[in-house]
Amino acid sequence: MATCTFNVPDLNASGDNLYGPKICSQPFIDWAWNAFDFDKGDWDDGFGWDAVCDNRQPLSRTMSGIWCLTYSAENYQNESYDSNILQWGCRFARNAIDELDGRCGSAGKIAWTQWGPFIDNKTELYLSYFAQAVSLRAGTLVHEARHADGRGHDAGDRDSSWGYNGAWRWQVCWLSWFASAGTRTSTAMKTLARQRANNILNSDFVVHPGFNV
Amino acid sequence: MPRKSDKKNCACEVTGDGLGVEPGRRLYDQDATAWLVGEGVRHMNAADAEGELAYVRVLELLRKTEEAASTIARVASIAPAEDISLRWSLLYLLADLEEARGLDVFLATALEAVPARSRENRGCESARDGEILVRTMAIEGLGRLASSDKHALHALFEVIERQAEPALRIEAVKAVLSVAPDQVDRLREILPEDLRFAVDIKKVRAEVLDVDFDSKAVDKVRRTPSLDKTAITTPQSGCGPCC
Repeated sequence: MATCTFNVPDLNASGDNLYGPKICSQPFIDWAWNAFDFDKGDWDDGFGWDAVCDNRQPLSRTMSGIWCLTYSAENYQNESYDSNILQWGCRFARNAIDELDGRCGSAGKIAWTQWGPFIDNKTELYLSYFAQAVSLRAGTLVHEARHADGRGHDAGDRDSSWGYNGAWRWQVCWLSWFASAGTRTSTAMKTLARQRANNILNSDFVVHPGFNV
Repeated sequence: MPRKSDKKNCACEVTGDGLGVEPGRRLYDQDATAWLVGEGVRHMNAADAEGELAYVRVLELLRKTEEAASTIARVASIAPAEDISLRWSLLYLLADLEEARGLDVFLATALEAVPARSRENRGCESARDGEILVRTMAIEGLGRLASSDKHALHALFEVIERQAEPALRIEAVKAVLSVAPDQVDRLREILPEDLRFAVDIKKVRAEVLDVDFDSKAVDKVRRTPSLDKTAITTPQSGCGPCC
C-alpha cells in the first residue's frame, strides 16, 4: 500500500466545477458504482469514498469522467452498437472493464489495465488521471476499456496502424465524436478533446493514419 | 457515499492506497486584471447561455486592458506545473483574446522542450501527453494570430525548425497551411524526410471516423439512468400537520 498527495488542480479549468454538480445524484452514483465495479477498499483512505460529491477528490473526479462518457450524446439512451462511439462508448467501457481502482501510481502515469486468463482483471487509475480535464478522463476510459476487452498495443506503447483497430483508434474516435457532437459540455472541453485526438494521431501510430480532425 | 450491498465491500478484503488532498493555490488575487483572468477561466467551461455570455463579456473587458497578455503570462508562470488543464486554459483564453501581444507567450510556450519519456512513466498515456497538449494550444494560438500577423507566421516556422517533438511540428505545419497554403514548398524544404507527410495530412470530420466493433463483452448492468429522473431532487417530506 502506497501513500501519496493529490494537489487539487484548478476546478474550473479541469471542468470539475461543470461536471461535479452533475454527478452528485444518488441514482447515478449507485449505477456507476455498480456498472464499473468499484470497491470501497480501492476508493477509501482519501480517494473519496466518503465524499463522492467532493470534486477535489479522486472518486468524484472519476465519476465526472464516467458522466461525460455516459451523457455526452444528445440522445444518450440510444446505446446501440450500430450507432457511433459517442452513443455506445459508455456501454462498451462498463461491459469491458472488470473493475476500476484508484491508486497513487508513479511518475505521471495515467492509467493501466491488466487482462487475461487466470489473472485479476482490473483497471487502475492514477493521480495524473484525476488531474486530467474531464473530457480526457472519459477518453482514457475508452482506451483502457479496449485493453480490458483484450486488445493490447502491437508496437510498444503505440499501435502499428489505424487498421490495427487498437486502443488509440478507439480513443481518437471517441474524442473526435465528442469534439464534434458532444452535448452538455463546454466549447473548451471539446477543443481540448480535438487537440488530444490529433496529438494521438500524430504520435501514437507507427504508420501515420494520414488525417487529423 | 456509494451504497452497495456487494459483500466485497463489507468484508474489507480490498486494501488500496492512502491519499492526502492538498487544496490549490489562489492565483488571481494580485490585481483586477488577474481577477478578470480568473473569471475567464471560470466561465470558459460554461455549458449554458448565461455562462457563455459571461465568458464573452470577460473577453471584452480583457481586450480593453493593456496588460491582458502579460497578466496571463504572469499567472501561467506561477501556476503549478502539474496543473496541465489550467496552463492549457490560460493559453485558450489568450487565444480567444486574439491579442497580438500574446505572440511572445505562445512562441515561448510552443518552443519549450517536451520532457523526455522516462522509463518509469512508460505506459499508454502519461503526464508528458499533457505537456504536448499545452504546447499544442500555444501553436493554435499562433495559428489564430497568423491570419492577420506575419510575425505569427514566422513564429510558426520557428516552431517547425526548433521544436523537437514531431507531434508539435505537425501542429505548426497544419497551422501554417491553414493560413498560407502557398508555403507548402518551403515547408517541404525545411521538414526532415520522415515528417514531410505532414503537408499532406487531410482534415476529416469526426463523422467519418469509426472503429471495427469486434467486442464480445456482454451487457452486465441495467441501462443508463435517465437524466430526467436523476436531475430532480425534491424534499422527501412526509405528511405535515396541515394535511
